[in-house]
Amino acid sequence: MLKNITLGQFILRDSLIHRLDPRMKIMITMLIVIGLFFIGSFWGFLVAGGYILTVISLSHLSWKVVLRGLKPVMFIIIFTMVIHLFFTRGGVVLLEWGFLRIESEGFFTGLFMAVRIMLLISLTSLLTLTTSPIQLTDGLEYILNPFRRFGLPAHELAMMMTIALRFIPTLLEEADKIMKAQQARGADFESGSIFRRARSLVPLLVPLFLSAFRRADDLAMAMEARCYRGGEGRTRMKELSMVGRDWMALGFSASFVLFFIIL
Amino acid sequence: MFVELKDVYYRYQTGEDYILKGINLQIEKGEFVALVGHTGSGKSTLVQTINGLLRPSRGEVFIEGREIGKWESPIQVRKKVGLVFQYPEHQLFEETVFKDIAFGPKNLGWSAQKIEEKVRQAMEFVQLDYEELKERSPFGLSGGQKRRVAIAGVLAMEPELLILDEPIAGLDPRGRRKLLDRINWLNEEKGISVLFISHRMEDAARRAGRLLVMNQGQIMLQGSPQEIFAQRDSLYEIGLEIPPLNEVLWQLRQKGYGVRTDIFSIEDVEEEILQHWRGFRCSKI
Ligand SMILES: Nc1ncnc2c1ncn2[C@@H]1O[C@H](COP(=O)(O)OP(=O)(O)OP(=O)(O)O)[C@@H](O)[C@H]1O
Ligand SMILES: [Mg+2]
Repeated sequence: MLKNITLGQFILRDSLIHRLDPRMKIMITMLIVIGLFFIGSFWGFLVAGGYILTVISLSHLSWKVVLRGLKPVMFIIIFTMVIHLFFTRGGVVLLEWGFLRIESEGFFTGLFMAVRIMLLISLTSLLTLTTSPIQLTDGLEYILNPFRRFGLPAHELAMMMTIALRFIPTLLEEADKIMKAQQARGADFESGSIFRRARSLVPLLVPLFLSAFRRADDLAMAMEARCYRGGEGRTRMKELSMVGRDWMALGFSASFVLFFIIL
Repeated sequence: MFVELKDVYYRYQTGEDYILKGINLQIEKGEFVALVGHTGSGKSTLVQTINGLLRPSRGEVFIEGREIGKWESPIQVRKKVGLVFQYPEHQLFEETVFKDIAFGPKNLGWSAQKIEEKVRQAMEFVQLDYEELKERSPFGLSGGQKRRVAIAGVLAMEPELLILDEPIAGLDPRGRRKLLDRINWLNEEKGISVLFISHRMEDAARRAGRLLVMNQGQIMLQGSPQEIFAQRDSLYEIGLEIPPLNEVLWQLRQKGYGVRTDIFSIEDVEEEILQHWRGFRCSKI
């Protein structure tokens, strides 16, 4: 049951996309995301879709993996579409049935919104699929660094993210184990009313939180024992550096953005 | 036959390989069986198929002759087969020791009176003082006490087969011996079948009537402790060591002394060595 959750899942491949500098990948992703909000035409979406397909094929990933990332948000996508379909007014009437009326404006807005969300999610899951969590947080730290002078704890934020990502699988495993142990004592997590089910989570959540705190404590202690004292004066084993292909990727993506906004 | 596994295969959804590969196993009422095997050999996975927490990918599990899926509800199976997990103290969650131990019995739908009685008995059994500890928070207890509360939580459900997954890992020698004695008592006096998992032979050897040796998802050897310990070399190959006492006898034998190697209590071994020593001296003189 808990095993279906995939969060920020990274798949290692030897590809151009994987080798790009994480900072560049993050910035390009932001650029495209912003671009997606300015697309106003059907053709624009088509080009944006083409861009994403190109990236998928360059990354040596199967499109199925990317599609899987859409599953959890499918409900939101459909919900958005339905809301627009029935409640956005304008244009010609396409269908009328009792008090329900679908107008062309609603139809197109709904469709655009749905496609936009799908593109957004595919794009961001592509980022996490091709960038290891460590690279991702490293990249974020670099990008956030300039804001340090305004009091933003860039290093600490990145460290927190790294640790959180590191412990997600551990906690899932732990949850699975505790759940089984309580089931062995006759606990039932799967049936009953919502209220009953929420209550039945107590025997799972209490030990889970306790063990999370215990782990956090141990980790903090272990880090301190090795003289960790935040980001001050820390050097890196692997410095990030931008090379030709990173700038090329930026140029390529930026021209795409221009192209699909204009369309 | 109380428990019977027929050609059980198991593979985790996330894994590629089968973790259990054709397990055939029978446990009779009142038996004390020990399951040993190196880390990752599939011991914990195996015992979870016995109480229905994991359903075999292939093969069948029978409890009292009835296939596990054919029982009306999983809870009935779990009442018959009590499973104490590795490091069970990590599963405590209630505010008081009493409530935590009562969790299982409550799920069985017993009356408050019966629950109180069973909790009291279970606590007495693991040698926790009922009056003194019932209102205490389980989180304030020592590690060994927590472990005993967790075991009591399963015992209070009155299982007919008690499975303990490495119950003595992380306890001091005295705590280990005491717990083993209690489990032994439960088996002998109450007639409860016990399946005891360990990756160290000596823990299990003296008490178990039968030893199962697991290796890479299969039961490689099974038999009485004497029979198993006689196969020192095959055990060594799969990363298991026979108890130090038997190792001594085995080494002596290697050196050409004709000692027996199929004994394992310290008194017997002492006697055996002394006898040889005397015989050796006499023949020299
Ligand atoms: N929830 C799980 N999901 C996927 N694989 C698992 C899971 N639990 C165990 N495994 C795998 O199954 C194999 C056997 O594990 P198992 O816990 O049954 O071994 P064990 O004999 O109990 O070992 P130990 O002595 O360390 O407790 C291991 O290789 C492990 O990686
Ligand atoms: Mg185990």
